Amino acid sequence: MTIQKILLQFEPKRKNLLSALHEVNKQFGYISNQNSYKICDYFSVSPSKLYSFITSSDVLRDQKPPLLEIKVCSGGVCKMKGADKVIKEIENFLKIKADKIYNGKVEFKKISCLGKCLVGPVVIINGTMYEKVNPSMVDDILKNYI
Amino acid sequence: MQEKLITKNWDKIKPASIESFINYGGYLQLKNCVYKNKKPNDIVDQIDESGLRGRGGAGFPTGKKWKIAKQNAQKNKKDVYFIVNADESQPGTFKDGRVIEKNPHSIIEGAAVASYALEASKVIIYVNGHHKDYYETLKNCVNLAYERGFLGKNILDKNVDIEMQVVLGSGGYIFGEETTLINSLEGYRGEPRMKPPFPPELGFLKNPTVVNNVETVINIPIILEIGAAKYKKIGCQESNGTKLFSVLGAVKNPGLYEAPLGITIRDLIYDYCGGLEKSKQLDFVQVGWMGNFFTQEKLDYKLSYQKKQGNALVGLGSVLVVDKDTDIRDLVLAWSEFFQRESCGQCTPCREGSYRLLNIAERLKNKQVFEKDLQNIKDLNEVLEKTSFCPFGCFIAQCWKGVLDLKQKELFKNL
Repeated sequence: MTIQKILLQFEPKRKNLLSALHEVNKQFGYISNQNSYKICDYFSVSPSKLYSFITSSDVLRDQKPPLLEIKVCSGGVCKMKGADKVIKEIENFLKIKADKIYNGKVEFKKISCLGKCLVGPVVIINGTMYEKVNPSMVDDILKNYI
Repeated sequence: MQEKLITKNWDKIKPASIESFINYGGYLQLKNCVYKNKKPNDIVDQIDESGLRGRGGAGFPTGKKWKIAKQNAQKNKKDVYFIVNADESQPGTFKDGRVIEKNPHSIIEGAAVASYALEASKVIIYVNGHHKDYYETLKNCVNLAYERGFLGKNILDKNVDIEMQVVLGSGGYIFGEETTLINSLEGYRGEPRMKPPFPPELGFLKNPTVVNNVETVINIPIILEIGAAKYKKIGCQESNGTKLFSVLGAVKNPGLYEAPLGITIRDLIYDYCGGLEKSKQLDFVQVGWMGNFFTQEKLDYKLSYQKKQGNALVGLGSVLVVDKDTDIRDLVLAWSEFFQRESCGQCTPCREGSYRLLNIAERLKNKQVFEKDLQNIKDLNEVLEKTSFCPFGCFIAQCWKGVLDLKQKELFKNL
């Protein structure tokens, strides 16, 4: 679907901005520079305001998603269950550091609690959630993605 | 043990099926309201009488909030908007998520009854952006309710309109704050607004808006079913009804439990969760939010919304039991990372303060604290408490204050 078709589903009112951005994000994986100007025109919002809206969100992206996106919950409960060791293991295995992006290919993030405390520690790779992860499982999980 | 109200039919109902929900008495209260032509103001009075308090943490009386919104709407001739806050992201809390997983239709019914009572022009359910599965579930439920005629124009063939929309949120802790939530719905950056005016006075699109937590909403049909007087008898003085508690940490059976308000921390841990895990020793219990700590001697404090001696403020109902094997430094670091990550960046004290406190937490973890750090924490706390724009700053200060009160000697013993 083209960006125009997506936008036409929504009334050009600012209160529909959030839903429209979610739809664009879903279709293209991110909100590109080019697309954001079209969104600005359609909703009569200045580019700076749109950018500030997108960057305040955890879910909307303004850059192409990486090939491998790893998120690890680092809330207090997961930490009590050993999330730190899982993070170290991933860092050692991929030779990267947490909270950094590598050439747009790999992104490794610590995230806030998602309410999956009972099945923690939780690791999310490219949208798939792995529950009750312990350091010895990390190799097996990551091998599916590289 | 108190009879269950919220979780009564959770094991029997099939979450995806509306028939299954109706078979167990679902939508009965909405039908009652519509068929019996109940006066909206009577329902508001009933909720006010029941003593129901907002389950989103602050515990503001729900009936009072509704009344303010209705009065403002009448005075200024405006529409009321009703927003269900399903943007749960407090660390260690999963009650709203569990409600959506187990009995999503109850949220729709509660919101519909609330909309009837408030004569609201629209109901918006704001779901946390991280949880697309919850969004899909609720959207399906709303669609089913539209098909069955529980929502829409002239519902149940009577002259009542209830419009409902499910919105996927931006995702992030601060969006759970009501004014931020409204900002994000209107298409503005996720930052809190100045209060006052409070949302029931001036909220979504400059209309009076009521923002209620998911758990508050599902309590509404229950109150209508059992009656305000009976509901008021459950719980303790000024905190009525039952509450969902997410109990985690070093207990035998961690999970979600429904218990009456006014229960002691000890009863919750030992009667409901089977006590502590084998060979673990209790260090402290954290209730509601970071920094609200209770040690062994304070286990008989009552979980309630009222601030007084001998009460533990319950907040969102998260209870974390920490044993002596857990290093407080790990927890402090986890909390500081959370604060720094989730600070929206609008006001300087919170943006800078959370970052500086994270640096100190990292030094604490590596056991390389400086002499100045203790004083710095205290200074930052004072600034955060007095000058931050929204309650998030005070929240950071409270966390560090709690940590220092409890563990100062242990953390700074190297000096």
